[in-house]
Amino acid sequence: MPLPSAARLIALTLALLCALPAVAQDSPALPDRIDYIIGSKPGGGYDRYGRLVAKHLEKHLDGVTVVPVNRGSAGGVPALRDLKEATDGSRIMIFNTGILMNELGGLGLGLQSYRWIGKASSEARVLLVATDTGINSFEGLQAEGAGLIFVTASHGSSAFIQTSLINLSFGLGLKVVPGFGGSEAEAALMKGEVQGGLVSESNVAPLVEAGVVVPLLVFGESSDPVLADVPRARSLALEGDALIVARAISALTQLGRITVAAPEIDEAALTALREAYQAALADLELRAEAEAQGMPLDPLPGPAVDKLAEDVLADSARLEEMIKIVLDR
Amino acid sequence: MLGGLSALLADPAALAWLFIAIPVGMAFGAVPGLGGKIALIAVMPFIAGMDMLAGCVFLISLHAVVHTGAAAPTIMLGIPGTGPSTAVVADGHALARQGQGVRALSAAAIASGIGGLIGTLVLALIVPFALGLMQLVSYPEIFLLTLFGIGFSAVLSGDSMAKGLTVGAFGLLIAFIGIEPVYGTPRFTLGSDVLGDGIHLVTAVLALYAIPEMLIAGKGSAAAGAPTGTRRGRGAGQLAGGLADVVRHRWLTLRCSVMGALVGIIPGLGGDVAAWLCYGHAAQSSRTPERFGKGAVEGVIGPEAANNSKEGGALVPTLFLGIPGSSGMAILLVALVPLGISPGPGLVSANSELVWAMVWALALSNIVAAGALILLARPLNRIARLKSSMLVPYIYLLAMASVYISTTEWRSLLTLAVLSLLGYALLRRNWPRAPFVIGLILGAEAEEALIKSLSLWGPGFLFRPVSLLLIATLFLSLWQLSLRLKRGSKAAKRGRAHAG
Repeated sequence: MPLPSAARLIALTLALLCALPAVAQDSPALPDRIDYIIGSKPGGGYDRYGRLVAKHLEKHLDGVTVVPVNRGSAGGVPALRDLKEATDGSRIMIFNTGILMNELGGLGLGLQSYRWIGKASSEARVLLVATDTGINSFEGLQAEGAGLIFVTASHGSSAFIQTSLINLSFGLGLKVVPGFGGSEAEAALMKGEVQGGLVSESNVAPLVEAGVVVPLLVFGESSDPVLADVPRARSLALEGDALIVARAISALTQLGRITVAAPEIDEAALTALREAYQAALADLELRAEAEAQGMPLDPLPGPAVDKLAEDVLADSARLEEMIKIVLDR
Repeated sequence: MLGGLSALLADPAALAWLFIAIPVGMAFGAVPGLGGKIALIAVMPFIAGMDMLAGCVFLISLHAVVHTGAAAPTIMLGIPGTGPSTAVVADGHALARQGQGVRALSAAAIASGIGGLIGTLVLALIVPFALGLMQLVSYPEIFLLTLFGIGFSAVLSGDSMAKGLTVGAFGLLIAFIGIEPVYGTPRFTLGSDVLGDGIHLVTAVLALYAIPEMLIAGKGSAAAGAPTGTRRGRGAGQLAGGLADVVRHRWLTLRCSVMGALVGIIPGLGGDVAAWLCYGHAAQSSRTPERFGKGAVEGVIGPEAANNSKEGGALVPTLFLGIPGSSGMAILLVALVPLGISPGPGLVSANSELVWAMVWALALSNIVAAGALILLARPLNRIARLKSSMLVPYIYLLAMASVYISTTEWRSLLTLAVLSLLGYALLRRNWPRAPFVIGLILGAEAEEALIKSLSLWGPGFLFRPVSLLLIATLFLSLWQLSLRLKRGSKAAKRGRAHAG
């Protein structure tokens, strides 16, 4: 008697599932399935980069399925904490590097011991001020900025810590107001409700073209023509706290969108992941897709990211002290 | 303006993509938990390399019709397809249970279509004044608008205002669960990461409406779940009935469409707020607010009109200022970049024809989607006519899948279970449930807007011109409401005296 169609479908599914282990052993250092955790909600920059890399990483890991999984709750910190258990490489993660600043402020994740797989891109941060303040240089802000309202994402976020550190170390006397997430800061600037902020370079051009803001200082590297004539923080003659803060923020922006593995990941698995990651970022198909979607790439291999992360997380008692000061305010 | 229309009509590829986008967008709306954001994310890899006009038309149409598609599971199963359609669940599904599912879907489709058209009209007319309008309306006005909405919960209290206010206050309390938005302080999270993100709206609405009703239907009670007057009127009659409802409530449709479009223009206020504000407004402006939650068609028309009109309004800051009005619009902004579009103040001058073609595509897709939903209403009604006990297991599964897709967190199912107990208790005791959801949505918005208003302006925020106008309107509305409630309570007393 022929099997009913539902029974046939179940039988076929079971047969295919049984056959899976036979075809999924081509990367012996790694498990059959890797969850590529994206430490943010769907739709943002980290999500887009995470999905693009996950798709192409799979091509360079024979027989391994790479599944992007969003775990953006509480800024991805719990997911980053859980990652420690994945010593077999079954989970890797792309996360908001702003968490490194929170780590210096006493988050206690132990990020120094995590292993870096590589970096896909980075984006400079730009300190800007509303055009109607009449300020058109960083020196002008130092002289006349006291009392101006600069908005950031929520208290404790990377943007809040960085803006507050700049305010503190350069003695600007700004009023830093947290709570303006997403595009709210840009909207508030457009509406003339606030006078400045520290924003990602990709958000600067529309505001400059609209004549709403003047970019004053760039932290990190940028090739955006709008920022071509804007001074870089690294080019200022700085010393003391200002130098520590400028270096830390610049290094953090260079770290950009990095992928990380568990601190005690098996060395063979780490090597396989780093090689596949590097091959994926060099893949012409990935590059073409990234270009078409307006996603700039600035790849770095794992060991180089190790060095950058070390620079950010290096023992700087004074930086840690300043972060704690701004978080306590 | 007409150049955009002729460009759209003269491009068969763009028209073809518009007609492809409509079923795809409606399907993403109809699968609970997916919605417009996920639809855009899913199609983004395929956008690169498309013709600019065809790509823009595809994206705009896809996103515009999601809420129209979401009406189907919302009304027929009581499972909201998207966040904003949560406002339609109570009355839409109640109508379906009374055998008037086709009428409800027809009214939803027509109200959505009209809302979409009015939203488009607002988009077309308001562009020159967009920045000025945005400057007039900011956090202080958002705070006052949310107070309006919270005040409406008194109208949705059924037979006892005290019950409604108690449930509303509980919703407000639940809104404070999570990481406080400005200073990042955890509140009522019990040390759990899941509660740190707060209570998700779709989870709350499923727990308050779908699950309790299925619990009762599963027990075989006739109190809920089973269609009560299974066949009130033939399908064609019900379709005409839906149209007649919208015509009868044309001013409500118009008001909610305009309100939705205006809420869309204000960055930070999402579709959920637009839909629930309009649900509250529909109840507040009704002569018989006690019918709300039990199958009032105005409870479908108001939020459906707002859901779709909000999309047109939200495109104003997104396209013309480069400021996305919502997270969905932020994704749309990102999706437009590979097509060679640079949203921002220079967009109209650089691509006038393209912008108008997008405006026309928005209008056209809303009309076609409304037509499609009307055509599908009768086949879909077969679901509502199934025996409730047959649907129960599927609805549980769909509800759980919906919560997981919306939150990507399995532990949210525990939240669903706990809140379902509350929903079940409220249903059994005949306490109103809508005030809870209004408190949940608007409480968080009110708090954030109040903190930001105080941070930027101090207590002086209450003296902004539009704020003063809103405060005056708020007091006037409350005074009018108290008069109505007094009259209602006198009438009820007289009724009891006669009965005695």
